[in-house]
Amino acid sequence: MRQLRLAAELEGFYRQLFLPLVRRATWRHGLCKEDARDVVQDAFVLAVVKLRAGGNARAWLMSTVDHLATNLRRKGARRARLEARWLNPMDESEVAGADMDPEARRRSE
Amino acid sequence: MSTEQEHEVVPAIREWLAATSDVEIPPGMSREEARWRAREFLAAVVAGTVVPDQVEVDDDFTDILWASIEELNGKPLGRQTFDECDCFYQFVVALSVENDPFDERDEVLHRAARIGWRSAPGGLEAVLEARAATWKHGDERRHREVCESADQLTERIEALTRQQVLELPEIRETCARLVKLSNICPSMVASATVAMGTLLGSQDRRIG
Repeated sequence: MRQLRLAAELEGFYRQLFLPLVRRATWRHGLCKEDARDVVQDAFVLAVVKLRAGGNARAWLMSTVDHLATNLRRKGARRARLEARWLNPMDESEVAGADMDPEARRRSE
Repeated sequence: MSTEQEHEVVPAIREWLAATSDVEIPPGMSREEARWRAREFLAAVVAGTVVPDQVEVDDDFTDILWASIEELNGKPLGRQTFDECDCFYQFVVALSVENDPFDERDEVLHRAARIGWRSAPGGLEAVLEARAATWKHGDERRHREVCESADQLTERIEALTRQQVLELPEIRETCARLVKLSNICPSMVASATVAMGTLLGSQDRRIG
């Protein structure tokens, strides 16, 4: 893939919208930066179709990023449970907490 | 993001997607690097070797702030964590942040405060009990009622000015409320007291 060279007009978009949303997906939802980037891009694709003109775009994007990030984490946890069940049947309990958010996992420890 | 900018978001998103469809978009500082830098940053904040004026709040630094929250959240509960959260909170409050479209600084502060209060001596319950105790002034229900009806005080005094005969119980009640509210909303009480004084000093009304 080519490295992105941003035109001046897109630089503002990158710093004002893209990066803050990536940070939201990263630090609120525990995603790595690469997954967070993909989540935000997916949110942008949805916005083109679903975001109504005159609506609160910022709130909509934040909410959509939250939903997509949560779904991604749940998918990862399900995958981990399935892998444990099929590959290591005796280790299923180790991944039971994989779908807990970091705060809940910390409290349960 | 202003209202005008919000109207331009969808066209801007289209343009962005078209420009980034086959390129790798740098997502900013990695989690690992941000956590590593956050450990150093927190140590410097606590030691006082870095001050808010020295820091440029750019995207990388914002990642470090978020990573600092994760670092603080992983620390054991107790006085040391409480003090570290307090140092971090004071530092972030003092930062000069020019552009924060998603109110990230507020959220960082909120999370730092939660972690700190959780680590406070006695825990969060002790903090909440101390705050609830501010409502206890002998008669808690009465104090709460007076505070919650403070914005009706001006109307109450205006109603008195329309009366030709002022009843002593009403005057006493209104003055008692003014005294109670004097420490809570002093500016409102100051103007209301002037109105009350004018009313009571008026020669064309009978009291009692």
